[in-house]
Amino acid sequence: MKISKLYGKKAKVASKAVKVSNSTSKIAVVKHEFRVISADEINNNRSSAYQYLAF
Amino acid sequence: MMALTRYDFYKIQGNRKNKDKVELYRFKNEFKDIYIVEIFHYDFNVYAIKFYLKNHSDSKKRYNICYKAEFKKNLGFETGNSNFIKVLNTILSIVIEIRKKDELASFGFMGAPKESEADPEVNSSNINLDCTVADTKRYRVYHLYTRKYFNPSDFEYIDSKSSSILLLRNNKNKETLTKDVAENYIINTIIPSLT
Repeated sequence: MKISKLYGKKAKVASKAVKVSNSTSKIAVVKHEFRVISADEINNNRSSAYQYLAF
Repeated sequence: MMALTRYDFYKIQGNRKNKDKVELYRFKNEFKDIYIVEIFHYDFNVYAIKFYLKNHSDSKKRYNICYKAEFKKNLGFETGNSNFIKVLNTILSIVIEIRKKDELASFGFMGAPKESEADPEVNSSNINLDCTVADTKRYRVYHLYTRKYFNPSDFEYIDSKSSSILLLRNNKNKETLTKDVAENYIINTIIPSLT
């Protein structure tokens, strides 16, 4: 399959709503939790064998 | 930084209509299979990276499929670990290239569920109505991998275990892409575009 073919369908697929009941069709709302991971937590849970990328 | 053990990668042409929004790269792994890497451009200089084997291009499960154990054993490999780390290092090299071109670039990683994790009969408690899957194995691996290389003083780790998404927010863009803006954008734009 040509790779370019994959992208023509993208817009149609992206707009698909999730049907949550038989009587109504609406976008399902899921409550996702987000949190910022502190620098300390990152630094304390990684191997010191690796160096951070320099940007 | 020590040199990453990775595969050589090449940029390839995608559909012209979408080339501003999706960049494509390809590389070949040690099993002689070709990977396709998709870089999706979102607002706020957010880039989402997805990849899959070219052989699986036609499959709706292309982001989910893993090599079968028998396949690796037939090629003389006990595990696919060495291939997987090289794949991640290759993706990281592409990320570095993007960051060089866009100094405000932030990166989103979504740990796509394995086929078993996406199966409601096996993993229903972690599958959400919006089709995301909580706490996938790939999400946990990407978490461990990114913290090896991305300094939290350069990138803030905005994490959502319930959707298996990790956003590395570029701190040079923190005035625009605040945690609240990022959270709303992921929920209202990025997640709906995945399903």
